[in-house]
Amino acid sequence: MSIYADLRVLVVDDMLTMRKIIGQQLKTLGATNILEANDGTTAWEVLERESTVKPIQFIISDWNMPQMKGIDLLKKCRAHPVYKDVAFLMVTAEAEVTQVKEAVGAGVDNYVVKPFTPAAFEEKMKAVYTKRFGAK
Amino acid sequence: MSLFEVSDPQDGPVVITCPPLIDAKATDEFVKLIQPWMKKSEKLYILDFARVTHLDSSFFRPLVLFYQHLKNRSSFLCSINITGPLALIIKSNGMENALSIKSSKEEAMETAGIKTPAKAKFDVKFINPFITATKATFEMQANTPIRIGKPFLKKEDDKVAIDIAGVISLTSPAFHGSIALCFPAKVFLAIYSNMLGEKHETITREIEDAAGEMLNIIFGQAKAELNDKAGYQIQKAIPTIVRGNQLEVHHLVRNIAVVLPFETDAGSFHLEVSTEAS
Repeated sequence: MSIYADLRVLVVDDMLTMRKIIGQQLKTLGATNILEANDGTTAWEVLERESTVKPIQFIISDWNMPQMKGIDLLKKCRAHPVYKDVAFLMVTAEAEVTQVKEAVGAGVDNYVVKPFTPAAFEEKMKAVYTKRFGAK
Repeated sequence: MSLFEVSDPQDGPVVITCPPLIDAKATDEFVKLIQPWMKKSEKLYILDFARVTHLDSSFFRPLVLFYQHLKNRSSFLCSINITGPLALIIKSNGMENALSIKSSKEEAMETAGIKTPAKAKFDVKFINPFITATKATFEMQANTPIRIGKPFLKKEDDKVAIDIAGVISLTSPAFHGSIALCFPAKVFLAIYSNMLGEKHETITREIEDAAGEMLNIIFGQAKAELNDKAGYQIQKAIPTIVRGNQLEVHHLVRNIAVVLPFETDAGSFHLEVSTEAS
């Protein structure tokens, strides 16, 4: 069974196309419990709503979105007592050194630069999973 | 027929193209030529020495008078295309100031405080990151191999009709402009199918954002390259999508764009980049 099978994953991207691409790749990796949000504000609402049912464990977020950006969602999570340890993978077209440093400084677990191959995505997913949930 | 060719002042500064041989006869003709300008002067006169192979020092006397006249009226006289031996003659006659030697017409216009029109010039070092990013984005994210065609300039009257485009603004302290990723419907639908395995007959709202996302990725890659390696400081931006039959993209800043054409097995699409100095 896939290590991602029971994982609650929230995919945050303002572009439906990218949410579909990531969703397809997650399903290929064995994930079955995938939720979506189209910006940081909606993602936060999903986080709060789902925390009373079964909390989101893994966020895959774009950076550059209207409303709340991915970097602000990350900072808000890390500053919150309940969501501070949520696994956070940034998948973004923002590839400048200063931005990667900013995300690392804000506590991102890993960073995927678009465009990416399925293999690169899988590698980063596994790195984040291992860091947050231990090797399986 | 005059030995000196004179441009129409309505086209900008008066450019006087000198004959190959500037001797006594040419000097006499120059004296007659400048007479009307001694009464009513334009802002800038440019002497183009590109064809000159002989320069008689008798030419300098009317030239100095003309220079003094223009100077008194806050007008300018500049010279361009002055090469080695010619420069020596000018220097040995102490004429550097009067001739005000410039490297180009644009530099002469700048000296006279005349705004030069934006040049349709595109730096390969600026354009290449967009080509590299487009190729990587389509091949990696959309499973679509692409081949780059020959870039060309799209001017105001050129019509390159498309059905959908992602458009994003380019803003940096040095320039501003826009980029557009443009597809005919057939090509867009084929690429979308390659990317997500979904077949669609027409472009709908559900799938149209793929044009914006592809452009967003291309922009992000090129921006990182240009900012990290060349220090352009291009700012973040969010793409918008335009869709319609036989659409034409007009760039707001300056309706001239460099068009980067790409070929796929399903047909061609292109990226337009339009910039202007801030």
